[in-house]
Amino acid sequence: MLRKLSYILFLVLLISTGKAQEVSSDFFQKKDNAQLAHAALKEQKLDDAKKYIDLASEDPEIKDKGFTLIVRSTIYKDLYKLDEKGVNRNSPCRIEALNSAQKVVEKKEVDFLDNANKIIKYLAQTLYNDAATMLNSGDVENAKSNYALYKKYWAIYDPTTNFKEKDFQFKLVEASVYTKMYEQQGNKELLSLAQKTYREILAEDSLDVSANYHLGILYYNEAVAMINNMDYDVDLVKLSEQQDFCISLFKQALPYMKKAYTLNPTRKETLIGLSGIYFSLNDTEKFELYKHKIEELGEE
Amino acid sequence: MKKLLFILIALSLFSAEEKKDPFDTNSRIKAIFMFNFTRYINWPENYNSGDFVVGVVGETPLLSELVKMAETKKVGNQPIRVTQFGSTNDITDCHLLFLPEEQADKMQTAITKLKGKSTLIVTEKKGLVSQGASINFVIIDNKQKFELSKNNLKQRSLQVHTNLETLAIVVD
Repeated sequence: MLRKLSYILFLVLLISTGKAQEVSSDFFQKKDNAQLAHAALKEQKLDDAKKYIDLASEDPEIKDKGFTLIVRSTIYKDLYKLDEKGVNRNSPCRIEALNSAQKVVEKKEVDFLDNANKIIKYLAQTLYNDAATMLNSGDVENAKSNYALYKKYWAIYDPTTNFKEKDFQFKLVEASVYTKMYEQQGNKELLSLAQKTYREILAEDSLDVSANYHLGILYYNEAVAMINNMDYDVDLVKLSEQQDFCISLFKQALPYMKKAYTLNPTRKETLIGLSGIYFSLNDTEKFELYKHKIEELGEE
Repeated sequence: MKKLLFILIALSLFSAEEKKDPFDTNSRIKAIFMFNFTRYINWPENYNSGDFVVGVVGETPLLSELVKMAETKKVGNQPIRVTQFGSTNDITDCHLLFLPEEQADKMQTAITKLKGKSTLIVTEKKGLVSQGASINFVIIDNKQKFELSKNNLKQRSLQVHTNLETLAIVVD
C-alpha cells in the first residue's frame, strides 16, 4: 500500500516539476528504456524494471540523466529490500542504489534530490545496522567495510555529521569482539588485535574508563591464562622465565587498572581487577587494601 | 536507536567477559614448585613404595591445586595422595608437609611430630628455615622463589639434586 502511494507521489512529483511533458508524451511516442523501467517499477515488475534500467544505463544519451539515475536508484533499492535485506549484508543492489542516488546529489538534480536523499538516508542506516550485526557475529572485516560505507554515504546525506563519537563506540565494540573471540578461540593474534584496538581508543581518549579497565584486564588475563596452562611438571628454569614474563604482564596491566580506578573509584569490577593484579604480584598489602574496598562497597 | 544497538552489543560482550572465575595464580606456581621438589629430592629407599603422601595443615588455597596435581601426576611410580590435617597435632607420616603461613606459629609442634622422619617440610613464612623447615617460599621482587636449607634436609636424610640448589636461595 505504502509502496503504491510512493509511486503515485513520485509520479505527481515528476509531473509537477516540469517532467509532465516528458511523461505525458509517452502516450504519443516510443518510450526510452528509462521510461519503460519506470513503468515496470510502477507495476512492481522489478525484474522487467531492472532489465530496462540496465539497458538505459548503457545508453549514452540517457544514462546520466537525473530521471534515469533516480529510477535506477529506486529499482535497486527495491531489489535490495526484496532479495537481499537481512540476507546479503554485502548487498550489491544496495551499493548500486546508493551510487545512482549519489550521482543525483552530485549533479544537483533538483527535481530528484529529495528522493535521492531519502534513499541514501535509508540505505546508509541499513549499512550501519548491518555493521553492528556483523560485528556482533565476529565478522569484523566486513563490519568495518560496511561501517566505512555507512560513513561515506551518510556524509552525502548530511555533510555536517561528526562521526567522532560513533567511531569511538565502534572501536570499543570492535575491541570487545576481538577479546571475546580470543577467549573462545585462544588465538594470540586476536588478543594482539584487541590490545591494539584498546590502545588506539585510549590514544583518542585516555580517560575512557571502560577502555582502561578492559586493556588492564587483557594483560592480566593473558598472564593468568599462561599460568593456568602451565603443567605441574614444567621445568623450574622455564617456570622462572614464565614467571618473569607474567610479572611483566601484570605490571603492564597495573597502570590501566589504576587509571580506571582513579576515574571511577567505586566501580567494583575495577577494584576486583586491581586486587587480582596485586595478588598475582604477591603484594599482600595492596591486595588487602583493595579487597577491603570491595568489602566496603558490598556493605553500602 | 542505532547507538543503543551498539551499546547493547557491547554490554552483552562485557558481561560475558566478567563472569570469569578468579584464578589463584600463586597457588598454581607453588604447586609446580612442589612437584619439582619431589623430582629433585631423593627420599630414603624405604619411602619409595606405596603412595607418595603430601600433608597439608589447615585451610589453604594451595590444597585444591595439590589435589588437582595428585590426580594427574606421580612421583616416580608412586601415586600422590594429599592428606589434610586439621592441626599440627594431627600430623602423621608423610613425604612432604606443607605448613601454610597461618599455621607458622605451630611450627614447633610440626617439628616434634615429624622427629626422626624423612619428611620434607615446606613453609611460606620468613624465618621458618631457622626453625627446621627444609624449604621456605619467599617473594623477591614480586616473584615466587624459595629458600633451601641443606642442613635441615641432611638431618632428615633427604638428598638434594644440584639442579635444585642452583635455583634456590641456599641459606646454609
